[in-house]
Amino acid sequence: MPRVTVGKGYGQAALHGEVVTALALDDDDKEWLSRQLEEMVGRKVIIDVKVDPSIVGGFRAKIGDMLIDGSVRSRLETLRQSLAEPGK
Amino acid sequence: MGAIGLDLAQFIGQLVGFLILLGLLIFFGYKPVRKMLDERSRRIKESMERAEATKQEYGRAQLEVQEQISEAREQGQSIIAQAKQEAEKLKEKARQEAEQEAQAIINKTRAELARERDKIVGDLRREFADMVILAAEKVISETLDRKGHRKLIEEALKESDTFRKK
Repeated sequence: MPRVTVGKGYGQAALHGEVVTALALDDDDKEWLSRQLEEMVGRKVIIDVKVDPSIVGGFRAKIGDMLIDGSVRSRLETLRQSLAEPGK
Repeated sequence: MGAIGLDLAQFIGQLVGFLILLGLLIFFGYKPVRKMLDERSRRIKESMERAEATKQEYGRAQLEVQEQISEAREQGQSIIAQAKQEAEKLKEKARQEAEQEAQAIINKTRAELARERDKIVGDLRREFADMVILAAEKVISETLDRKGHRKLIEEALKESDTFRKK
């Protein structure tokens, strides 16, 4: 489950977002992802995409004061914790 | 008297002489002898009485000694019984203390073993988890293509949306 943190204080102007992915996105994918994020936050979103292979897959985004962690790294960490400490 | 050849006068004279002699003997012989015999008899009687008294005293002393021996024996038996009871109490106390000590050692050892086992299991789980995650990362990194990457992003967005609607 991706971690989403929603803050306060949205305005109506376009939001700038920082997106990190494991592989580089082409223009189509960037456009598609922007639209998806706009639908999610209900506002125009302009994203800046960076590549970080350490997140393994998926993406991590910071839009305004909202954080979305849909990375495979995050899922694997959750899996690691459930394997290492099954009672918790 | 003449017929039997006895001279009466001589006879009377001899009789008187005899009686006088008898009186003298009684007066001078019988009384001292009697006195001596009485004295001896008294001494013998006293000796016998002392002997009897001594015998009775000995008997009483013997009884007293016997009683003291019996009393001492009873006291000795009582002391021995008491000592046995004390020894039993000490033995029981020592046994209980040893048992408690042994149980404490067992409990401590069990706890240490459980901690050690939990630590080993935890370490193994963490190592296993690290190996699984490392292998998964490697497989995903080596096999992830554009299509798969986009699918992962779609799933993440879908789950994010689902999460937001909850």
